[in-house]
Amino acid sequence: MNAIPGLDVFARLKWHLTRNQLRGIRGENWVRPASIAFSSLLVAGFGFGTSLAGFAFLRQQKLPLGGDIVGLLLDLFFLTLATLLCLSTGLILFGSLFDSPEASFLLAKPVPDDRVFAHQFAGALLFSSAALILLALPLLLAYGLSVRAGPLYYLLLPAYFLSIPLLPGSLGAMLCLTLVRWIPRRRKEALAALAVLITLGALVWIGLGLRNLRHARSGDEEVLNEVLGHVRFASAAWLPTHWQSQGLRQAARGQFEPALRYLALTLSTGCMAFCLSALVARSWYRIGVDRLSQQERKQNISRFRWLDALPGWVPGLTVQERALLLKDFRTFRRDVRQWGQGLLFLVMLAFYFSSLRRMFPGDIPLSFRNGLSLLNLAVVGMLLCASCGRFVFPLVSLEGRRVWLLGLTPISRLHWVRGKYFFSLLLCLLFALPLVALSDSMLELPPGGWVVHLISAIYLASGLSGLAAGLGAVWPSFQEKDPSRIAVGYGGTLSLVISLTFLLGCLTISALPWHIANAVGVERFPIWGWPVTIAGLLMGGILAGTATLFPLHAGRVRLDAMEF
Amino acid sequence: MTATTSPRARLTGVAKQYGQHWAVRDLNLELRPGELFAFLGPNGAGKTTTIKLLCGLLRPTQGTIEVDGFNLATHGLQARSRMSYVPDLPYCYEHLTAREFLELTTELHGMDKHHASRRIAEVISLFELDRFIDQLTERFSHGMRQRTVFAAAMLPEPALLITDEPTVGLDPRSVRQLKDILRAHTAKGNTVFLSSHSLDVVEQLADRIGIILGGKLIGCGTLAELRDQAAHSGPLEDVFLKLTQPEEQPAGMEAP
Repeated sequence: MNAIPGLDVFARLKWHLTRNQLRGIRGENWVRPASIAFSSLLVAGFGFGTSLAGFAFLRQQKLPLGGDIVGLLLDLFFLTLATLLCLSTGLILFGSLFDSPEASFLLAKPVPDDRVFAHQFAGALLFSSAALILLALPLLLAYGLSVRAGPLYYLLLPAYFLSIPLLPGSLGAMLCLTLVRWIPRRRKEALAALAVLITLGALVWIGLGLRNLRHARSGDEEVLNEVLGHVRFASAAWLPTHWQSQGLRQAARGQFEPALRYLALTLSTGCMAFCLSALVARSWYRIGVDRLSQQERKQNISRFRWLDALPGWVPGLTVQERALLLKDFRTFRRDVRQWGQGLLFLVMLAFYFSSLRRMFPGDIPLSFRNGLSLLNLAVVGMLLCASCGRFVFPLVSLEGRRVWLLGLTPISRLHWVRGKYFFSLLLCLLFALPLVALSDSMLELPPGGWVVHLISAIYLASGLSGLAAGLGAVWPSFQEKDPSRIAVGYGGTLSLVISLTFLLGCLTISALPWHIANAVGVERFPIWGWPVTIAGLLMGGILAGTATLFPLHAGRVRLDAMEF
Repeated sequence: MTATTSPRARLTGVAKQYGQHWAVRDLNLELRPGELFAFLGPNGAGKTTTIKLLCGLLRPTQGTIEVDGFNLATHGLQARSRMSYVPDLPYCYEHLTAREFLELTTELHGMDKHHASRRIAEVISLFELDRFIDQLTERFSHGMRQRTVFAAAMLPEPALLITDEPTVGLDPRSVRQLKDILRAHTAKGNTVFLSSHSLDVVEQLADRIGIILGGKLIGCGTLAELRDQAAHSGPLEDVFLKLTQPEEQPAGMEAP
């Protein structure tokens, strides 16, 4: 038997792939890499600015940045980041290990299973760590500047960045391998149950926190203590995320020995977890592949067929558009992973909105209601934005190599894009309108506020759907099969930035005037309030119309010019 | 291990279950050194499942598979080092050039550098890859991709070459070339396991033919032996259709 290939073979493979991809980018128009760099800088810059302002605020409040409270906040931040990394690595790895032609290719070669796993793990970890760079780097740089950290901090920061993802990534990998190994036949149900359990746990935890907060009204200090006490677990000495936060804080103080000790602890625990996950992969990876193939092929696709009537309610569609809408709706409905995430957010937001009153023992002050309702509308808009980017933007790309099927049908390319738009609009309205109504009802907003918010939600749903459907056609990626990768690719990122800009603009133009008028006229809505509100709504309508029609037209033009 | 005396691959009582459905049932088969074995069957008969079992991508629900005496379940690495697999949808890394893909394959098979470069040069010439060897495979046609993947599969001179629909997408010249290469490969004592719907290719190339239907091997032997079994003296197409007539199809839900 020939020598068993080492990890250097896979390292070389990654190097060749990266180098060739970079060469490809260099040969292309410079606009693409420049847009990626610009979008990333924009997001990172926003994070940096917000963090810097946040630390300045804490200093204003006489909270020592090197003290326990900021330490606890950092602990919480690292814990949240680790949870995200664990889940995202697990999800990405599932696709790479069990649903990719590359994995099948490698598994048929004389390569040990743990090395195939290590190769796919490295790719998944690199991909999921993009969030770490975009979220954590600006915050930690802002922290370093705020506490005037010495060179040790900046020197150790890259080392911490390299070691932090290992542990959560490995845990995510073990979770993924265990799920597939032990519950393959009801994998979707298991994942859904896990998500429900996590959500319920989070909701109970938030609920308990709100209840305690409600009882603690004697003073700001008590409220603060209650809140901090509720999240104190994040500072448990055994939590690796606490070591990371401690290590960086020590590095910021110039304490060489503890900073290095915590780094070594983080790195060694991560390496240990990785070795464990490789061991798990050696035993369970191939069994998992086999077990996944044994799933019942016959699926109960008729269970929710009555839902297919929903697209029929959308007025003004041509027969072709209705057929395309129904196709997308059916595909979406049958993919639990897709709508499960949306449902999870819907439940969480509904819980938050319905808990609003519990935070206040008496009537909610008017100024609070005014601000909170706008904030809630913005949160719903943010979720619409994220959902459109994640689920709608990839729709045209997901036609993939079968795109010629649609290409050869006697359907105008405009109908393709409009079909995706109506699909998105339908789901967005189903999602947003009940949530906005629930929020306004809980905050007992006057009818005027309801009207403004519901109209703004319709604007947001339409504009964000138009942007996602249209720009998805402008920047399609027919080679990619994974919608999450399409969503975070070049076009997806740029589309998200444009959508966020629209969201901000739409809220400012259509909803803010009413809120300003409402804030100014606490006793009585000012006389100038309604003309300004109506003007805002009209301008908001124009903005939403532009955000809907222009991208759809651009998408149609791009598809018309496309050769399949 | 002497390759000439023992079977190249042996499937003993192999069965594969997907949920309630048995895709392959009680499959007993020996592949001999130096033979080209063609595996035929209608769509959904269990051909691809059998191939995936033989490659070690799937594990049999029942039975054992050995390649050169190595049990795939317990000595998978040793068994896989003796085989190459060319699937019906050939996979290449799209951001690698054909040459880089070939180099990767030699590394995955642990071939030493000197031997690897000699073999790469040989397969480039054999499969006439010179024209596009240094191009990224992302722009390759199906035929170019198929030739590249075949070249990669032949690099380690596998004792057992498993191929699923090898001629689909190839031009007539390439099909002829491939047939010559497969014949030459078996002439060196290696075994080729070929699954195909191209009955004319099978008729020309195969030493023995196996026919699978509803997961069961319903016929196995030379073309003459299959003609006897079908009581039909016509071409393979007629023999195949006779043996796989719908009324002879066993119930698909039975346990093996």
